[in-house]
Amino acid sequence: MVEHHLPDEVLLEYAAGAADPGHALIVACHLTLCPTCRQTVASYEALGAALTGVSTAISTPTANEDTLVARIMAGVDPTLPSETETVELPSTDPPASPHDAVFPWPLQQIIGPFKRLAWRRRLPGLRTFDVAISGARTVIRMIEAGPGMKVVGHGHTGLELDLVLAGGLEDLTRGGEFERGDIQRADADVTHTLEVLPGEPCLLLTVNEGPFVPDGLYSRLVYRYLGWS
Amino acid sequence: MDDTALLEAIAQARDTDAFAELCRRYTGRLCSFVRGRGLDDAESVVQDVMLTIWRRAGTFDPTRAAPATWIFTITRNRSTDLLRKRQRPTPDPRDPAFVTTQATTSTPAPDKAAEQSRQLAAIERAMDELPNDQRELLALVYIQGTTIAEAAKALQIPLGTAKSRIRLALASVRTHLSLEHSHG
Repeated sequence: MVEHHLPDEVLLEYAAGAADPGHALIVACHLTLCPTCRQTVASYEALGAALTGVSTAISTPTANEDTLVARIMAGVDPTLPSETETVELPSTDPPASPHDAVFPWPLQQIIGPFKRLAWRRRLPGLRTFDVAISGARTVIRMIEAGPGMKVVGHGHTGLELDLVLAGGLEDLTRGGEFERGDIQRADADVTHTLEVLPGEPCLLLTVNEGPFVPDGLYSRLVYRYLGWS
Repeated sequence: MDDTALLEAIAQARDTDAFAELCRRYTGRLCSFVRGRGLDDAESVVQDVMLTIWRRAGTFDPTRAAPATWIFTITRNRSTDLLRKRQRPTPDPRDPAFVTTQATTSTPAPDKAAEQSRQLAAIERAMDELPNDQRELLALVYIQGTTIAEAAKALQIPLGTAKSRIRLALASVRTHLSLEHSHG
């Protein structure tokens, strides 16, 4: 069965705050569109709390432990009664004000709204935008490809994650169609060809752990020209 | 006096000696945990967390979760809030693109809180049953804040093995949770 969600290990790294910034971005965008994965991340965050709470492997003492305890005790008001009601703390962030609903807000915060993106035309029907995030080891790119266009045969040097934001995509090798909110993913052992579904252009946020491995001469020429291999 | 008794003394008698003892037991571990998540001002975060525990000790329910789990949950939430502000992008429910379902919007808050507590307790039991190699790997990711690739390198195991262990651990926890849910 073709998966349309993010791999568990990527969600886990995100929940633990350990994800590569490129992965963190695609997770946050997918979570905006996928209540199922939001629930999974919430459970992984709870798992982390349970793990750290029961672990005995985290006993690195802090150098100024006594000073810290004294500082904490100085802030204690013994006359203050203990709260007995669980209080939901309000978010301190100001309300989000996205310009449109095409890009999820985590993406707009980095590259702005869809309508204002400074696309680079690469081929007829194909335009791209490279996303730069400090500290990212992944290659992060926006791609918009016209109906019927193919992402010709390629393998991978690491995990490939594509989030569909508009239009649709089909994996011609493994089967399966992907629409808005879906994740198309391929590991290093997968070689495949993708095709944009008829109708409207396909808009993708792609995050790759490494360059493509071209499959065949035509593929080699195309990816060398695009700088993707 | 165990941690539960200390928390009861703090909640009911506002016992500052008990609170100081709880601080001595936890501040080192909490600082390590907070630092491992990439926050450099760990001591300020832990100070804030411990004062929250002083204020809210009355909300601790020993039938729902162990004291350590409760304390680390508060620390984790505080760290996550700070990480959200500093680096980790997060979905925003006010985003026009945000997709909701009936299930996520209709649960009343008190039930949600109780459900979270039940879930925490169930996760704790599931974690107890995990093999050591899986726990060790999860601990590296959660506590040291390493990626799975970095954890694999530290443990000198292939990346594929590390990913398999993570998947097995998560599947095992999920199975445990669904079994508890179906019996609860």
